[in-house]
Amino acid sequence: MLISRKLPLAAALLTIMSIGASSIVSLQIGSSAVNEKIVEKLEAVVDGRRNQLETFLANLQQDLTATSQNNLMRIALEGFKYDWGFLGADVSPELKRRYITENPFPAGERQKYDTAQKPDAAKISSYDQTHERYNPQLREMANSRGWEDFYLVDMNGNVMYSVNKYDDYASNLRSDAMKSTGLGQVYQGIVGDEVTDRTVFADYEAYAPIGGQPAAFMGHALNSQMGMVGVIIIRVPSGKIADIMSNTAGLGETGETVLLNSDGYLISDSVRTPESDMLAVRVDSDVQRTAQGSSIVVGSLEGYRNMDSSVAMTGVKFDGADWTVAALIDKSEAGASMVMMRNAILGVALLLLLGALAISIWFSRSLTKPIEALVDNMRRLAEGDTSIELAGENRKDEIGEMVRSVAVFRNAAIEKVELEREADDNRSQMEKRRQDREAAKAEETQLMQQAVDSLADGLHKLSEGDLTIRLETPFIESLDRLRLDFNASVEKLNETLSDVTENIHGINGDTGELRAAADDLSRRTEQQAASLEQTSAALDEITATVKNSSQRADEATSKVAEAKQSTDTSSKVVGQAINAMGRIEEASGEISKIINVIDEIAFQTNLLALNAGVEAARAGEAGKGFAVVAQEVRELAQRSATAAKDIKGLINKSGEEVKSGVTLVRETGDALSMIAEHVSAINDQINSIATAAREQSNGLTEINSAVNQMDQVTQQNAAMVEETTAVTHRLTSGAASLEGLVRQFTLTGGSRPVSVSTRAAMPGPAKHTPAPAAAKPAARPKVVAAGVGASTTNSRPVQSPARNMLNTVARAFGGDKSNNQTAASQDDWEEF
Amino acid sequence: MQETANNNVATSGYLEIISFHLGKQVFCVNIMSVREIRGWAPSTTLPHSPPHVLGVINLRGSVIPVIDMAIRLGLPAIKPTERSAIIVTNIAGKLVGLLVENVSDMITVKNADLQPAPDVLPAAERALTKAIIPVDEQMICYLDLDALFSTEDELAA
Repeated sequence: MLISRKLPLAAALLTIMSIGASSIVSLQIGSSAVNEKIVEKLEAVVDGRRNQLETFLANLQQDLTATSQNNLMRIALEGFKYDWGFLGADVSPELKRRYITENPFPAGERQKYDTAQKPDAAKISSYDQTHERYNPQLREMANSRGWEDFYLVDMNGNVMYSVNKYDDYASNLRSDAMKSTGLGQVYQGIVGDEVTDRTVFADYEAYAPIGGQPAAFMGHALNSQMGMVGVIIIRVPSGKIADIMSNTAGLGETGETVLLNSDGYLISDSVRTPESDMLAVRVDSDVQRTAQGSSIVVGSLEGYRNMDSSVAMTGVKFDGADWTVAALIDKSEAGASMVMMRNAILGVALLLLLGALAISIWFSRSLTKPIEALVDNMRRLAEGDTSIELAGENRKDEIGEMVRSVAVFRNAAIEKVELEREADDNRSQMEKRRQDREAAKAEETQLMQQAVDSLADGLHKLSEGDLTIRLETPFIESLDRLRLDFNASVEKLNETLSDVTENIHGINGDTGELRAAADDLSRRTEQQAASLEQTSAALDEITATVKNSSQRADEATSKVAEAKQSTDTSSKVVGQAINAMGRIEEASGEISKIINVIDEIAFQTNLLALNAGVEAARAGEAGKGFAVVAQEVRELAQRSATAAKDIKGLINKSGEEVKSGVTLVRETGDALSMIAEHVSAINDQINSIATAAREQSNGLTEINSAVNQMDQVTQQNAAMVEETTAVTHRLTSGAASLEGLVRQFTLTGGSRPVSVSTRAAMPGPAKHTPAPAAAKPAARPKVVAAGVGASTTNSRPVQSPARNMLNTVARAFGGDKSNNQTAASQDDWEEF
Repeated sequence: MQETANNNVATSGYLEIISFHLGKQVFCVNIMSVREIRGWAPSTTLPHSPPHVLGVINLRGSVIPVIDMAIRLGLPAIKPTERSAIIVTNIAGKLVGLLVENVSDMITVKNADLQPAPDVLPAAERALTKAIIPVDEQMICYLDLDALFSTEDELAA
């Protein structure tokens, strides 16, 4: 296919693809967005309706409960009950006659008839009076709250009063006709189950008394202090529920909200249909079955109002009624905006496609025309026509480039014809020169072959160890240098091998010397190791001794401390003794005082006895006996005085003894203090001994570690000496094998082979021995410095672990003796 | 009274005396002239009294003079101690306290043992010593209190 067709086609395809893809995507996004919006709207509407409905029903319940607590209701019911009894046996027909058949107002307005009492009637009915009293209030209440009807029922099931007076008025709710109606169910629910504290509800059903229209009822017990006295029941206001449900705001032209009972029947009239739908239209939907409870379920509904609609449903639970609120909208209405959008996108796409086709055709034309001209020119050039005219060489685009390239081809074709002609001339000259060169080369090859043969012969002999070979015949000029170099090499090799032989002999001698030295070193190292072991053992003993003495010193210190304590205790005892003496002195003083008193008493007694004697004497003969008694008393007094004097003397003596005792004790105390001082001095001495012993111990530990180090070094030395010996042996055998290798060669020269052979034999080592011997002193100090210590020279060892050890010992022991010891040890070391 | 004492001595042939010390010397008086023996108590000095009159003391309400017998007898003055005693005597109806060093004993002696004092002193002084009584190894000087007192009066006069 030609490019002029391809380009417009490609452009059209690209346009269609891009526009198609983008419009499909946008349509899909738009459609899902619209769907979502509809779903959201339906959910919002259904949620709002449900909330409204629940609020309304709750209010209804509250109103009814409040009404049941209103005293007016109970009073009215009591009034009607009282009057009921005066109405005779056929109460129901009588009342129906009065208030229904004879009611001047049509059905639906019967509530306006306040009383059946005729003003001119002879008999006054109390029921009519009561009715007249309460009907306006009750009617007003029912109207204001929107109730469709209001009933007062007694405990026997008699409907005593109804606001609107349909056929249920004055009937009995226990009768077969009424039992199964919603009204009867509510009554039964309250009275039968004795429900006093909440409302009872009967769901929508067709209700015969109002012509089969759907009705729902709600009732509450009327309670007095005695218990339940009756029931009030209302007909639920369907109109108000319809008001709530008929709000179609935001649901377009087909959307609406409806209320369904549990069987799927509508219980609110649809605003979109003219006829009444209550309990007549049924919606059978899976959506309703899943929309139980308060969650909102979205789905589609077919068949209702002959349309396919989107629907959102949610449950309304109320006193046993299981209702569902549904919001729905026709799917075609919902999708209308989508169709519009699709059409707009298709129109724009078509326009774009036409535009793209026109532009691409024009563009391809502008490209293909110059290319066709160029193709024609190139075809002519290929056929050999170099006279072509090229148009469009000045174009800036790729076609211009192509034209310029074709021009280059054309010029090249013109040049090529000329070059071919020149090449033919050159080729014949070259052929002649080549033949001359081949002749010269053959001659040279022959000469070279000769040289190579003779060189190969020489090399063969050399490989057999013959170093006497020389190449005498000269080679061609270019290779003669090879021959000369060969000769020089063989000569050089000959000389070198002779030298090697000589050196091998030298090595042989040296290795013997080295082996002897190594053996010597090994022996001495062993000796050193043994000595070190002994030293170590001796050191251990010393360490033990020092430790022992250190322990002893410590023990002595503790003993001294005890002694010091004892003397301190004794000093205290002495102090106590002195105090005791003082107390004895005091006691003696006390005794002396007492004795003085006794003495005094004796003196006074004596005086008294004297006086008695005087009196007795003056009494003459009569006082004779008395005088004797007085005499006895006097003697007693004198004896006690004498005793007192003796005691006094004794006490004075004991006082003196005590004084001398005090002096002695004091002296004892002084002596004890002296002892304590001496003990302290001893303690100091022993402490210094202990410290010295500890320092010795430390010093010895250091010595021990030094000796251990030395031992290690010696072990390492021994290992090294062993290695050295092994190496020396290997060296000897190596020299021997080297000599064998050299002997394979036949050597040339006048004296050289002779000298080599003689040196290789006995005289060699003998001659070479002095040299290592002379070198020995130079080598030895190094060995000594390495720590083997087998020095025979007078030079002092520069550095050794032993010296360190000795310094340590000197430091450890300290004092004057250290110098002597160090000197002695040094001597020992040097001997060692 | 004096007579009574003499009679007593004469009739019974025994004499009861109270001996006392003055220094190393022992003296005695007739027991019948002694009223009471007391312990030493400080005396109230009288102004311008002779050296041997120490002062006065209160004896159960009556004031009596105290005489240092040592000074009175021409011996060195004694230093009163707790052991000193005052012998209250009745001399010619007057109570006089005699300070002595020590009352030593109450002795009964035979009249026959009384030795006259040696005739070597002037009469006045000799009158003081009625007799010398040797008891055991001691010589007791028996003082005549009346004579002592009469001399006193003279001296006082």
